[in-house]
Amino acid sequence: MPEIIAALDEKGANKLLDKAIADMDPLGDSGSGNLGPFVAGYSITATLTNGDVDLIPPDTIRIVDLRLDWSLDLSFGLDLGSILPEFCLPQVCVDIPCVGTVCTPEICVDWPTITIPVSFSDYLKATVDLQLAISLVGGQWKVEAVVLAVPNLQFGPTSAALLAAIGAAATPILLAVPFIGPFLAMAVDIILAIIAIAGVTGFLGPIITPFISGLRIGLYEQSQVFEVLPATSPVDPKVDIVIDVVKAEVQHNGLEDELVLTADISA
Amino acid sequence: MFDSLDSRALRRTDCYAQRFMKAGTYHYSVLPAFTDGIDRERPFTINVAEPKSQGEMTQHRVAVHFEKGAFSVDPKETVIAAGDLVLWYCPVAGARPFCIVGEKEFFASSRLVNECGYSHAFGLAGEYRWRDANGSDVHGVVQVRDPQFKDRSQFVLWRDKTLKKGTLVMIEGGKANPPSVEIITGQTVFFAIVKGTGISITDERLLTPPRTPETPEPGAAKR
Amino acid sequence: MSLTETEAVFASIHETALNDLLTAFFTDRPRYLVYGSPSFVPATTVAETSMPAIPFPGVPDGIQWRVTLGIPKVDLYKPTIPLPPELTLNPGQFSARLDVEICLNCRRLKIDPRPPRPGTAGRKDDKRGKDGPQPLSKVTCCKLSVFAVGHLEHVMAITGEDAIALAVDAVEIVDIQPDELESVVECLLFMILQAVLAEVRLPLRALRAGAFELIPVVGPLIEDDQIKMRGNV
Repeated sequence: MPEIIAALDEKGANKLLDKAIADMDPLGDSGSGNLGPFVAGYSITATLTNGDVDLIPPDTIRIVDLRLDWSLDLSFGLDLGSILPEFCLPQVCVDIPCVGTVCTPEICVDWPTITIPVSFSDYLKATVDLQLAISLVGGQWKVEAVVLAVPNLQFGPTSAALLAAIGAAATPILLAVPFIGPFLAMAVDIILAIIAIAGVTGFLGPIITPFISGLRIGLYEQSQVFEVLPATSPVDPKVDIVIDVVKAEVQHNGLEDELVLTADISA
Repeated sequence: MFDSLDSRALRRTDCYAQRFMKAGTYHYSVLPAFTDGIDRERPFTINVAEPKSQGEMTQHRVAVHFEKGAFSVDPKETVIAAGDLVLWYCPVAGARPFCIVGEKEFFASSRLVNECGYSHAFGLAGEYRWRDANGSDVHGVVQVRDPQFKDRSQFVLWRDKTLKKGTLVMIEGGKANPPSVEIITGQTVFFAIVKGTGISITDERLLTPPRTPETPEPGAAKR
Repeated sequence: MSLTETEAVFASIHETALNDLLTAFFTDRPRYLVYGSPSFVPATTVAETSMPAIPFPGVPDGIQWRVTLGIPKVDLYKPTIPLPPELTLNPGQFSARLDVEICLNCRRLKIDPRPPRPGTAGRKDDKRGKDGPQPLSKVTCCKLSVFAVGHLEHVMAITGEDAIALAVDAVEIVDIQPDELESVVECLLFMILQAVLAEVRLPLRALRAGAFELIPVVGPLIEDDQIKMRGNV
């Protein structure tokens, strides 16, 4: 029989994960990814909120509707010359009184390369299965819930919204390009058509999925040398025990599924 | 954001035109904008022959090139008749703003004197209040409006017809006529200086605020 | 039946682990097992606790004494360790067994031939001499096996957290004659054990090795060789 037993029912497990997830450091990443044919640099921050916990013997914790709120800054460069037709101002002639007709030459416009910065925030929900993982590393016992498999994350509505945000972000940048006015709507349409929803999904997936697939939720962490009482005076030093073994599983006891953590100790 | 309207710094959508009324040889240089007081070399030439007997004014074009950080012209020597007009322009993408500087005082794009002109094709909508950066009172307004295309045919009309129509502003006796013009994005305004004191056509947003008697000169000691 | 029953959290510690905790406490803080007057324990250290001598008229520096306790071995209901017939381990109780050594410094006193000075009767003459406590001259000791039964008290630890202490209800020493002497010694050790074990306050956190949070609603109580608690997160 294990020497120490601690157990949580599903209600208790829900509260444990509420706190464990809320206490996690904010998630973040930066790098570059493919946004359709463009390469976009990005930085992203994300936070998780617990969903509903279902304990499944022997060692699975299922979180239904785990929510990931994320905020993304991305920017990509675009050579307008590659998407807009060549445009030349025609020869312009004016009649100057007492002088005659003066004409300017045809002047062709160079479409510049522009950088489009986009800021966008959204969230997604997913149901994830996590497995209990126990480790003793560097004198620390840890019990974590680790994602079992990458869930199928749905990006459809988010991709559409981000594509619209790209269009909205492109507009003021384009407006600063001389002679773009008459081509503005065309330019935005072309940009969005080139990237398309598939491009946005292809960009978001590799960035956001790791936040879920790499999720490790700490359920228990204690030093193997466990302090029972701290030192309180020079003649009352601290009192320690050693946690020799830690185990964790999900058990079905009576009518309840319970998260059970056990330990053996020595003086 | 606004278009850079400044005859002192010629760009790809600008032209400078000068009429030569007297026969002679006029040496000049093409320099980076605002450096006309530095370089004394005048390697290029306008050779003006006697006027044609009953000739109309003939326009000659000189293309300005920019390569390896230096300007050159094509042709280096232009032969014209008195009364003809020479128009300089730069078709090179990425060229620095430049100015045309002649030996004679009347012959300079940064100070427009007599029988000369400056044209600018406007690429961005907005209100452009221009005045003379060299201090005279001549000024005016160009209102640029973006076209609203309901269909492709309107776009084609703009591209093939509207853009070909230029607008003329005559400057004489310190006044612009008309003082205010309205155009569509992409169109060109030609400023023709009949007689001037050496003026520029400069967007007032590019200029520092005008000095008043109360504003001390920079570096002046306080009384 | 589930572990948590109607609550959200359950925690239990088996008597084996409880004894490990007690061993750890008394090993790291041995002074809670050794108490003595200045001739035996000149000053309190990690290893021993200094106590005043027993003052008695005519005994300079008082009667010097020392009590040494062994680490108690605790048995939680249901009973595993046999008890003397005078003690019964009831549901919800613990029993404990430990060795105790009592020592006295039985020194011969020198009778002062001079008459006592008037007004000195009853005056305390156990003041320490300027040379420190009396050296030990004739230490006389006895060892006893002590059994006790008791219950848990829910207390606060010095850290301010919830804790348990072992409260002694009765003590039995086997085979001291006459019975009245046994009763006196049992009384002495009853008070000593109550006081010592009241100082051993084990945080509930330690009883569950730091796992989860638990605000007790049921317990801590003794059942099935364990201390059990149920409550909320």
